[in-house]
Amino acid sequence: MSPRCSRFTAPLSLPLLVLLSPLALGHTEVGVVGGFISGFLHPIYGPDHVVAMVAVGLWGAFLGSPAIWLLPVVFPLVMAFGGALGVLGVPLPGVEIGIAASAIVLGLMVLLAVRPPLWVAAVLVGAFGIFHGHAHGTELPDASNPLTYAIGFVLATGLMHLAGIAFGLLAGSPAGRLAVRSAGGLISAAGLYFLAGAL
Amino acid sequence: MNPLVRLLMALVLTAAPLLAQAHSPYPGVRGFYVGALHPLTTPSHVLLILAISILLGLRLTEGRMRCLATVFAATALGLVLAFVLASYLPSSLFILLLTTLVGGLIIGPTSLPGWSLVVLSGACGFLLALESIPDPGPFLDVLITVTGSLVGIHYLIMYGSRAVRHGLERWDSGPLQIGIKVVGSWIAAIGLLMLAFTLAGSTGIA
Repeated sequence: MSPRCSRFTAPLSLPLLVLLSPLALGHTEVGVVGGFISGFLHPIYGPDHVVAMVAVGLWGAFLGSPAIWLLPVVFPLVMAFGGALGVLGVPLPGVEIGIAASAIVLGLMVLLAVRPPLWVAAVLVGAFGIFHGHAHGTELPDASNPLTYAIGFVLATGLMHLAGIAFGLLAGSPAGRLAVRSAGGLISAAGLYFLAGAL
Repeated sequence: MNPLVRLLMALVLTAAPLLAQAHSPYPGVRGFYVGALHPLTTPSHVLLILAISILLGLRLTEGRMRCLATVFAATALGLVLAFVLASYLPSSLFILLLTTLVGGLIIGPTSLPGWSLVVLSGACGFLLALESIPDPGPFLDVLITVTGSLVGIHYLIMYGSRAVRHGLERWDSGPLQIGIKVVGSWIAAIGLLMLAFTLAGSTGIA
């Protein structure tokens, strides 16, 4: 490379390499970090999962203590149980319909400001958690590190609940309450869209 | 002292020993460090140590010494028996099972009988020890590494549980209690999923 040429090519080569680097992501991520990234991104890449998990946090915050922490505690536990069923190959009918229904029902609970007894809310959230977990369990990437996949998967779920709780805490003020209930309506509408796709 | 300065000093002191790990201060001692740090190199061990530390810190207001003594004795017993039992017992499965159970107990009943915590502590120490023996080698090297494992497991659980207890005594607030319950549910969920992965792998489903 001549000195004159390198003056232009050297600064250009770096952005070129940066632009080319995403091609390397084409292969399956492996190892500890790969497993974590796969697990962390898996729930986030599914909008049907995202809206339902945010709805859990939103409804929990809307119901107040102890639902604010109980629902996000119940959901990952039951979801892991569903995930275990999926990993072990135990069939579960209507998984996609169950996931869409979770967004519809949980969104409606927030929209209509439904305040059932705590155990009813926990059972409802737990029942939907099985569908979400099963879907994730059956879609585990082959080369992922199972432990770090599980850690990433559970952390991402928890963070989405947290996002829902943070938004749901706005319900303390009248305007915030309207915003939260509107968000519930949007989640429910998204659930209807997912249901149409699943049927 | 300014809290920020204190935090910076702690970070500097934490970072500094890494430089000293470039070589062992005394010949033959390296195995001790390898053994002591071994529980931190295996994610499932870290998860179990975290779970039992939180449970002991959360539930034990008295009798912690009895549990810690049991951890020490059970770990020592496990390290001795590991040379015979390690290849026969599916200890990794038991570790995940115990992690799920302990995670569930963190979010479960607010009080547990003292003897159940002693049994759980002993089971943790024993199972972790079964997976902490070094490869065969000269007796003295193996002994040094095994001693490191014993000290490492015991100290991690001792300091971990004490840190949780200290946090609860100092900041006995709702958010901390809730945070601990959320972490407990995450630990149980991760343990359950890992258990499924391990079972699926061993049975050829996955």
